[in-house]
Amino acid sequence: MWRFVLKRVLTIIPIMLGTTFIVFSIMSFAPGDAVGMLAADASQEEKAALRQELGLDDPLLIQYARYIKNLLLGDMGISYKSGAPVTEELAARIPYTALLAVVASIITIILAIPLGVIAAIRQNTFFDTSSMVFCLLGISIPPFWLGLLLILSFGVKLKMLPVSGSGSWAHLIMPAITQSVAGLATIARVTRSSMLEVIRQDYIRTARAKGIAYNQVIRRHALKNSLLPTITVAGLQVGALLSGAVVTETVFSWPGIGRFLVSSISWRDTPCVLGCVVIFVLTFSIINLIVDILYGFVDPRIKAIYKKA
Amino acid sequence: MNQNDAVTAPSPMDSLELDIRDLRVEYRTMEGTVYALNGIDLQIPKGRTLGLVGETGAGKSTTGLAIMNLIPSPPGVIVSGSIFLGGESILKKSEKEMNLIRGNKVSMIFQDPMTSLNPVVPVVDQIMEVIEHHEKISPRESLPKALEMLEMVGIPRNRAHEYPHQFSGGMKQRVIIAIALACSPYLLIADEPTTALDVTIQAQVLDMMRELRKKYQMSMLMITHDLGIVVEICDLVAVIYDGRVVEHGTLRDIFINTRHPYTEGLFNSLPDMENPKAELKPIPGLMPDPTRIPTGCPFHPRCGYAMDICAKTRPSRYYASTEHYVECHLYDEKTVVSGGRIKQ
Amino acid sequence: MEETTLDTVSSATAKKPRSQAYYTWKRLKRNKGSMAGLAILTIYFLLMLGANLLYDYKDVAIKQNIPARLQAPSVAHPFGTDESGRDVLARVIHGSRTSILISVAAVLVAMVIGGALGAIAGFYGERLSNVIMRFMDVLLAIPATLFAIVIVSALGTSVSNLIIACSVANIPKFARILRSSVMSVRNAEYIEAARALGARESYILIRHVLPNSISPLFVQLTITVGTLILLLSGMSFVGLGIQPPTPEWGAMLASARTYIRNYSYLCFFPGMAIMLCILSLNLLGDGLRDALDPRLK
Repeated sequence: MWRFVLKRVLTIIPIMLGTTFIVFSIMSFAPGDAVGMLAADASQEEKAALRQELGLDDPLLIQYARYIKNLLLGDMGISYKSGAPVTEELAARIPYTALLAVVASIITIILAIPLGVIAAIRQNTFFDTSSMVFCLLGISIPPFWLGLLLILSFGVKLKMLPVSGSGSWAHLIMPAITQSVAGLATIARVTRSSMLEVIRQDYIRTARAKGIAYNQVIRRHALKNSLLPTITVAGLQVGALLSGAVVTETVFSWPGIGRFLVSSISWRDTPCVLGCVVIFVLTFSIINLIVDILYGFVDPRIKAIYKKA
Repeated sequence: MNQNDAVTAPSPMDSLELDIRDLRVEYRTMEGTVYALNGIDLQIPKGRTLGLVGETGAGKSTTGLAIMNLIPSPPGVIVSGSIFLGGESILKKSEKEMNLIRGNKVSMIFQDPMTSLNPVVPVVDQIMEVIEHHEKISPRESLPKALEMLEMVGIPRNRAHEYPHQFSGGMKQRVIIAIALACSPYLLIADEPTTALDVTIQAQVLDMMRELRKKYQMSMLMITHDLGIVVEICDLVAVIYDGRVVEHGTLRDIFINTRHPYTEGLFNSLPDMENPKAELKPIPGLMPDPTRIPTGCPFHPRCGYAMDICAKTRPSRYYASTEHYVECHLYDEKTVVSGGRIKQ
Repeated sequence: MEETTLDTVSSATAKKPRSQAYYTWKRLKRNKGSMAGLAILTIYFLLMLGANLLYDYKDVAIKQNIPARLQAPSVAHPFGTDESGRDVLARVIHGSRTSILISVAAVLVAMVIGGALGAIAGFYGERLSNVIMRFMDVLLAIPATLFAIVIVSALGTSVSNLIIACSVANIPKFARILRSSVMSVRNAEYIEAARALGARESYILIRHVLPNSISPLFVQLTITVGTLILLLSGMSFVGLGIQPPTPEWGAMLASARTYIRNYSYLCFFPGMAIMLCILSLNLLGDGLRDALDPRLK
């Protein structure tokens, strides 16, 4: 089993290289020239020398290789805007984004799975219908609008919660809700439909034929099987949650990477943009890796495939 | 006139393991009501094996599920009738009481072994579960019993902790049989237990089932469309058509003194070993649409002997002996005994 | 007697076997949610077509009218007026053209490219399939929103760039769906039969495989249009999408955000427009999925 885990860990290296390369090459079209930004007052010759020195005239692949080499050494370049190392800029903001993402993920998972399971085993009851209406609204509501509505009702009208910024648990509540609703609704829907599929399976009937009570059959036999698709979707939702940070953090002026990405784009601060995206993409790959490994542990059939491979 | 009394009187209730009377089951869906069982009667004396024979859609599996009280509801509805298992009325039991009976007094083997085991649970745990539930013992106590069961169905102990996907279809069916027999049930319902298996494996599984039936002294309901299996394993045969028993009797009654044209059709559609060049005579047409059952005898649109009366009234039951009866307008109380047909 | 039999025969032949689409539509029609979704989408579509008849684009939706700014909803301006005095209803209606047209265009691009790649990967041998799908895996490893943001930040926020940005990130999804669907059909016996009859591979792919594997694509299509409207309005909201003064729902919300304390109605209508549109698409998509897969009811 551990050999499989190791193998699986190794397979994300090409994925990570591939994604960062795609991002890097697209960003090479970005407006904003490093030399123009760093040495705006220099003469033409000085600029040309600086281009040479920074390697900006090298082929794309060389520049990419250099970027990766520096990335591994913990160097992501210098911010055009502040002149500070990108890694420092990111390090100041990662904790905020991570805090929000973790809290939102916890809310999502804790609520979504029971919601989906109960809705499925009580199919067509009031609970099922109302929670599925809620989920449908949840996947349809634009998060930034939900954020605005929350600000309007709890911040502006009721004055219960701070409308923006960070610093206390109260600041965290509305952004966390905003960021979790879509994922919660999606995961609950997937859990419900996979549960509905599972409880129609023959092995559920076999378990019932043993005389095991229905609730126990659900707990012992249906739950684990129905969670398999849920795990996959949950992994993808974390990706959505990360990119959702861009919008949520903007709505609530939350000082995380998402908001930094937006402001870096408007400042044409390419190294910072690249840094933010690379961090997001790498995190997403790692989460998908964890999901895959988890899958192997839950489903013996997948485990067997991995063992063979 | 009182043939019904004639058959029940000599076999008092307590000697019957299973007694189904006039059972009607419908599936009420948005597309319409499916009339799955239309007054089926089945009796299995203790220690005997009854073969339930019919085409796909005749209501065989519904009968099995009804005995387990596991008809999916909705859409399934038990409209009327009674099911007695060892003298106790199944349909009057609460869900809690049923959970003490299922897997304990009556067990069921399902058609498709590939999908009938939980893919994420090791096979031995799936056997232990039923033992622990009914004998109220701990996993430590149930493990040796489960291993014993596995060995009895011919699966070596060292494979007990493997998962279903590591087993072949035949082995999976053995595991399912082990689950079904783990608590020594009085009645075993086997719903096409070998249909999904290779022919060579079929024979092995059937042999094993026959031996185990003898060993456990249990009664068995063998649901099948394969007359070959019936000959091998059954004492009694009930031929069902459209949710109703159209002919019932001992093996000999059904195979040699065949009465019903449908039963005859089933035999004619099998190749004849003595005369391999003889043409097969399949039964023309298909089972009637179960949402729109023909009036009169449901078989009349496909029956070569159909008369005017067949489209109008349902035939009543005629007894050739206490166990051999047929529902067909070709007979009356007298001709049914000799086998002579009316207006032929 | 003779006549009645003839009659029954002709009525039996009159009941022609209907196409798959007919039965799908029949099942879909029974789904109230889907029908409601379809009705709302029809309204959106009509408003989109008639936007210029209702409100002139330049004079009403774009031109500033400072004296009339920030008026609460009234008979003259059912949704009120914005910070530049423009009628919010007019801008919401014109906004539907921006959002829906870009999203639909992007989905079609993604479906055609992704579908083609998926079909080729699913139908032709292992090696080609591996190359294509590994590349798709890499694309899929970049979250869609982020991908779109990267493209737009590098190339700029023109409409064509937004279409590219929205479509590229969705190509792998379509490729995956069609690939697995094609693979399950590829080995079906009627394909073997066509091959045995000597049909060419490309003919089999287009004539037999695709028609039988394309239906999951429609479900994805419906749902992706919704996702893209969300993506596009989200990007416009943070300033990386459609730029003012072009009317777009997300961009409208971004400017409304400044006035949330005193003119909260500005935040309400554009958001409602997005949500109703996506809700309808999801209702339709759900119904379509159930109708195509009657087993799950």
